Amino acid sequence: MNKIYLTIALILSFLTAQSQKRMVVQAIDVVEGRKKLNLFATAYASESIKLVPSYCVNFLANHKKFSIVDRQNISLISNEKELQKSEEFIDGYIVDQGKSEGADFVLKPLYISGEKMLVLKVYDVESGTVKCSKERKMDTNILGIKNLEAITETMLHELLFTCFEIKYSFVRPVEVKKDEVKTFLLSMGTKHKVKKEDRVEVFYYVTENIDNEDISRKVIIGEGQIEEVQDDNFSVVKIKKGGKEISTLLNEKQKISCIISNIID
Amino acid sequence: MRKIFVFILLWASGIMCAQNKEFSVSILVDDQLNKDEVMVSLHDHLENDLIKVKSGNILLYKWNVADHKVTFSPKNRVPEKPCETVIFLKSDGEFLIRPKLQIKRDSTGKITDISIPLESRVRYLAKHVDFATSRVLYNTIIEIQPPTKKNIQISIAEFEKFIGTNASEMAKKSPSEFAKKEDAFVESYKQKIIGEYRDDFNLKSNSKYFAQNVLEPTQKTYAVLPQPGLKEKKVKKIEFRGGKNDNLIYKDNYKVIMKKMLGNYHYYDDLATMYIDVIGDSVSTASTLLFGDKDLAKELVAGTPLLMVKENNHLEINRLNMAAGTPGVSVAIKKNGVFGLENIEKIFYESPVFSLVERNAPELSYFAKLAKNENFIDYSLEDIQGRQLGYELLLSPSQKHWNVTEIKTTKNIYSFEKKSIFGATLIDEISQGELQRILSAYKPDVYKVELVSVLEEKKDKIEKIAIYHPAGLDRGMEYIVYTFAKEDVDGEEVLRKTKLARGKIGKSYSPCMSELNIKDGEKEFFKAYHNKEKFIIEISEKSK
Repeated sequence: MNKIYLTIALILSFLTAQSQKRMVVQAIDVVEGRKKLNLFATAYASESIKLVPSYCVNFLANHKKFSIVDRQNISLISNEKELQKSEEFIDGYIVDQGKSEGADFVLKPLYISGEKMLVLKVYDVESGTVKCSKERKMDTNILGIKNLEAITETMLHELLFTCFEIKYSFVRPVEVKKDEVKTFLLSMGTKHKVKKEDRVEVFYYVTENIDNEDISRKVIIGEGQIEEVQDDNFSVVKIKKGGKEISTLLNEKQKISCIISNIID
Repeated sequence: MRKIFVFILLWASGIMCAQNKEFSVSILVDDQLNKDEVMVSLHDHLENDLIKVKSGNILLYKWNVADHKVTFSPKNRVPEKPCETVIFLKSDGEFLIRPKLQIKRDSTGKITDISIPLESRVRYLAKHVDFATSRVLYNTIIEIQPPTKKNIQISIAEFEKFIGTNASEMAKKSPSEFAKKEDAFVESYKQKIIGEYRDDFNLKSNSKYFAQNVLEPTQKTYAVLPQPGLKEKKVKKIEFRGGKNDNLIYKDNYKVIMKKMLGNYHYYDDLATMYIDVIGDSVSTASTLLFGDKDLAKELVAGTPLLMVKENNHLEINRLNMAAGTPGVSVAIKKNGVFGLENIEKIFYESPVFSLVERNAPELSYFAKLAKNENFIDYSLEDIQGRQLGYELLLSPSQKHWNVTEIKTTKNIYSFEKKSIFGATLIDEISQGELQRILSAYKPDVYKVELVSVLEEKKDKIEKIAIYHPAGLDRGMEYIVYTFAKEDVDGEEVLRKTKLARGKIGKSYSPCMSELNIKDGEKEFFKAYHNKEKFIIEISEKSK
């Protein structure tokens, strides 16, 4: 019996690994773009913008859907694997020399300094095309770029939704008062880099028939805020708007989804 | 018959010689010294001390840090041979050969006192690497004591004779000219300054324990000799199996420890702290700091196996306290050069779970080549060859984060923010909590917090438990006890962790085992525990 459980566990872990997409995060390119009058020094902004790839790696590390390939150290790792093939390691310890896989996607950050625009692009390695892109105009002050980490994370949340349709399920209501859902359990936790007070957009999909083609349309029904991050996979959301509508949809057994959509001043 | 006898004799002596072929401890001494005369003189003196170490297996090498070149030093008294340990030794700092004059003035601006300050900020960095495995064993900083004499007093008359005029007036009328004269005066005193440093007692006394501080004790633990016939209720002195060849340092502090059990886990309890009193050939004596110890006397009479371990030998203490059979993880740190990030290296090499592999030392290839030299064919080279450790995890820094990459998959498995002071300066340190998180991210089923024993239960509450984690536990760390609830997420059953109780680390049994004082949830924990519900204990997000 134990062997059967072990086999199932191994198969499941293999399948999980297979369903994870491999993403490489590249270093950020800074380009001038159109020159505009800039009252604040750009030197510091240029320096701080170099943190964007690091924020991206930190955000996506341990994400359920992605495995981040360490681009920065690829040559170091290859050298180590080659070294471990030598006779000096014959009785020592070596890592499993298994197949080194390439990446499925490349995340490329770009900063257009003249326009203060941060762009995140995802390239599909197989087709060589841009799968999707997000851009955001940044605010700068005398100290540099404001809220860079928070903005990068918000853009990444949006990118995951736009590019990969990654959304998170409304699991169940936690607190209901007078037919209005007050708090609910969301299938999003520390692994998805959700934080307390993150803004949550609550929506569902309706199917529209346009020229004999069924197209899904996103309908936003409410808004909430992360009240508590419970564990790797779950958080509790406090509803700010749309509690009644959510309750109605739940009665209709409608599937409700959520994404993080922070508004950063 | 005679020929057969001679042949047997030669063969036997050949075997004996091979058995006596000990590997060396090779010390690579940074050749890129700050070239001030005092530094060179001190350095020379300290190298000579290293050569004189009685174990006789010390070999010195000149080491160029920039181009990684290694050359056998002409100071060696024995021929070159393969090594088992490589020690990288680098000096840092300087003696103030050309200081600024210290000038005191009264309220009218008149010069009242002149002196030449004597200052030094010199230290040596020493890093031990096991040649066979490339494992980092130890690093240390040896501070060179500054001179006892703080300054050379100069009479105002002498100074004025040198500059050819009244010093106070010159200082007021032409400060830039005065500054030049000051520098010239100090330059004229250069040889005297150097002489003062050289003659200083403090500096001379540095060499007394330098070699021992560089080399550190060869043996890690020493067995204490029992004293069954002891009649006193308290004991001040003990004997232990350790001697001159173990690089023991007089007055060094050691802990006397004894093995105890808690649940299914063992730990080593501190019985007493003692200092090395008398260093013998193979048996030495240690004494308590002040008063005799009653508990120690009791155990000595009972013949309980006791060990002595150096007080700051955290690796050995951690190793003794780690549960048998805990699998290790080999890790390397990405950095430039052999030295640097000492605080981070220390937390890894002191943890027995981790083997820290040195990959920033191309110098080691010199010794790999040496070991293959056919002149050393009669050495037991199988002891140092073929045992290299590959690393499984790579720790690399970005500007604000540390990233942990799994070599097998090139996947980034964990990332965490660098520590900072007041939200600003980033410091090179990793907490015990992050070590646990790294291990959990890598192999969550292998490295986890284990419940050792329930220590305190009252009515329907659990108030105190003992927990164990091989990466170590620090006082004040916070842990959460979770049970599991099943949630249906899109038709799939997913386990959700439910917070049951919270606790903080209190009293420590060993580096790996501590008390956890339960707050918030004592009753719930009691119920879950006695209902045999599945629960886990994890480090809280707050414990950074």
